[in-house]
Amino acid sequence: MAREIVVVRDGRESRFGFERVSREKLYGTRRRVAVDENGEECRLAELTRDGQLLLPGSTAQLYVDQGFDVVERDSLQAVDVTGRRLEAVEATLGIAQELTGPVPAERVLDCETSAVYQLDPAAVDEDLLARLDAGEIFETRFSFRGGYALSPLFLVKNEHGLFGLVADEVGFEPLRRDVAPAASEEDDPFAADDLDFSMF
Amino acid sequence: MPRYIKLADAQRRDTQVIVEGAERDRGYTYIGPDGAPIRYAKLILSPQGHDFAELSGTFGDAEAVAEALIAGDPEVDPSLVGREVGPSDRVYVKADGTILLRARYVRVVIDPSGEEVSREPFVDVMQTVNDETPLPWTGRLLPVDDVVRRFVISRTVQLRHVDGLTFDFLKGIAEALAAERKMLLVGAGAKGAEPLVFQTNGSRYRGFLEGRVTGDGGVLVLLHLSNLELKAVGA
Repeated sequence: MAREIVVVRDGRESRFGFERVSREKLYGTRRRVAVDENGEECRLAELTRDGQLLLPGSTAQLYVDQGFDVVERDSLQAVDVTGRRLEAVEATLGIAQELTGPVPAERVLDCETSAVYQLDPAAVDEDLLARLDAGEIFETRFSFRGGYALSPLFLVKNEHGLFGLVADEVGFEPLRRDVAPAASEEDDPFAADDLDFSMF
Repeated sequence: MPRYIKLADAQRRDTQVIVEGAERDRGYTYIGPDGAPIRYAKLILSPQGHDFAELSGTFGDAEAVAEALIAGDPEVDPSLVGREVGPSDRVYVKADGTILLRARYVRVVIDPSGEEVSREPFVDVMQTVNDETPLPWTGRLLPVDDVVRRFVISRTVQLRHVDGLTFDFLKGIAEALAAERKMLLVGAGAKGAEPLVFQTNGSRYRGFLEGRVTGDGGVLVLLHLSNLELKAVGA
């Protein structure tokens, strides 16, 4: 059975099939390709400082400990900034996630979208659909593969269809003008000075 | 070092402001099973001369290569395998495995079905956002609700002031946009019709300028960037 995005709102469940939307699928791609004197495409490789030529596929990326022993991925532990170990979270696909909202558009703008899915309603709550039709935006949590954190997923609808926006929250500090305090005579070491020009 | 861009407001006054990206923090790091720190490493598996193509040249067909693999370890260079790559340079390699000394670039255009539609000499895509030429005030204001339902915002940068005057400049923009709850379409070029390109050959974006007033005397001026419309695949 195909995996679905499942949400629940006011006890009513909605299920969606999904397909990734990307620039490649909508517009195609433009690539910059290096070619040799015969017009043949060349591959990108690495040349180490001691002259070893490393072709694509000839390196491995992995985690090592301080003794340079390999640490397998399934034995890694995630910790937050305080050093507290985090519990792994499962993928949300097929598991009903609470839907919140409607949320204001600014909530979407508080995030950068990392993936877009075109949603195909398999079984959808009519009230939710009507609200999405009216332009309302709803939010749930999402993880495609599982990991240590869930991402926001926004449901939005426009004339082209229904979409799920997977996002990363970003935060910015508001700008404030640091106004210098008004000068007072008490703070001014020269306040008592006479404007005596005769010394020049 | 802060990065500056030049921006004009509705009164066609322009000034330099700082552009800053969001800090990306996934909120966690990895440690080893014993709690000790770990790091990501890139190791050599097989340097040139030890891959299948090279071994085929040495030993013959796939069966001969297989026998050679059983008899010994020709795919392994014990002096290199497992060594950390360290500093390296990117080079292009020709089909015969030699390094390309003089690269010529072509632009290959592939349509959404995966078909190549053109191949022509590559021309650099020049940077259009800089600290000299102001991004004009296009006057094209779009409701916030429309923007988030029409475009995919994949990147957001904040515009910051450098002094009291530029704070007032940005505050004026933020208040004007927030009052109408609209976003300004931002583009490069004299009329703002060109895409925003922040570095040569970088991604092309359309920009949407948002202003917010936070209520405690603070303001936010955010430039949201998009290179994707919210459209269905195959529509």
